Amino acid sequence: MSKYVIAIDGSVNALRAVDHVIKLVAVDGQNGSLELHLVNVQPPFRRAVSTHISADQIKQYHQEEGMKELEEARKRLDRAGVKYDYHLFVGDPAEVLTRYAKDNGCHQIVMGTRGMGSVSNMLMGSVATKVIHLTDVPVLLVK
Amino acid sequence: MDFSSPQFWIALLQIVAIDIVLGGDNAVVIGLACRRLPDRQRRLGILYGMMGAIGLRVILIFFAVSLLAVPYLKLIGAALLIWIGIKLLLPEHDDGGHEIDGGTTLMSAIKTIIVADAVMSLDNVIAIAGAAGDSKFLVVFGLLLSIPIIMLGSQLVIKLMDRFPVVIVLGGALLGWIAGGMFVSDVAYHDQIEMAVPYAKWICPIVGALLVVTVGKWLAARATAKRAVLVDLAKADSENTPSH
Repeated sequence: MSKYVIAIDGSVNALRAVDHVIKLVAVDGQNGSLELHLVNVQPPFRRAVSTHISADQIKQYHQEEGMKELEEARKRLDRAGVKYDYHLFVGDPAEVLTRYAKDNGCHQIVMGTRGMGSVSNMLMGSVATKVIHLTDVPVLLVK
Repeated sequence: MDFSSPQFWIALLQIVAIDIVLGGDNAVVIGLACRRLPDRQRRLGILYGMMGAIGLRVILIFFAVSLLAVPYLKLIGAALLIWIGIKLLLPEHDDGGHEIDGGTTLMSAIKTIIVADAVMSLDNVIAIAGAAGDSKFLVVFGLLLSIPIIMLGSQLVIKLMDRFPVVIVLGGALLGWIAGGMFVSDVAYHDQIEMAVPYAKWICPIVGALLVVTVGKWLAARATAKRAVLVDLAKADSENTPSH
């Protein structure tokens, strides 16, 4: 049984990664041998905001935003009849993905990338680049 | 300072940066506080919240400008600015926020907004007064600029800061820099400091910026390290009982 983490941020890039995994499962026949974990990471608010807003409200906001970003990926997997589990965290996306994969003994992290040039990549510091630096787990980038 | 001096334009840019970094969060708090209200109340809450934020800035700036001319008060202003800068670098509270109330009624939303507006306007105003120095024009400019940022800019500002986290660090460094400049320019000891320490005018801002960034980064790293376990909010949907 292989465990895959799929990073979902609500972008079309992430959906390309989902489509790719659906294809992998189709080739495989069943996804009995593949355990899929969708992981969405919400950016935390700054201290100035969380000082004034209750923990409940902030949690609820993160949940609603996260579920929105997971929605289309879940729909596609449901439609394809692929089984999966989904998770929602708050923090730095690259750090959370890396930690999740490690803590849960995952075999691969699948991510969509923007496929941008090296200059903007350097400026923006893509999540994928950071994950590759941080993790020991194989990373599959889908462009 | 006048239009022809480079200091004027540098101060102008500083004020733009301060307004963006500090005004955005104010708008976010107003939006979050009103989010659970019925539609009409929500729109009213946001409108009054923003008017309060802007009005408080106008009132506070006059106090700030005149108070900073009083001997030794720039010392306090500088200390406050250092703290505002450090605060900027800290992430969300460990447990996601404070525990006061659910905040789903109009009254609790208003209470939240008034407190937040007061605190955040004070932060913003001290920073503007520090950057503007003795220029009335820059003070007014800083005030006017904060209006569109609070009214329209929050979404944009948040996106910007999520995408480029370095903006926050630069914002913090800038606040520290202004704090240093404020510290060195207090009327009570300005001349002595300049005499005793050559280049104090430059050294103090640099020290201020470094102080904010190192302390802020250190506290932020400690806060993240404390978050030992990942909390899965998707699971909280089904497993956790509602907390109130």
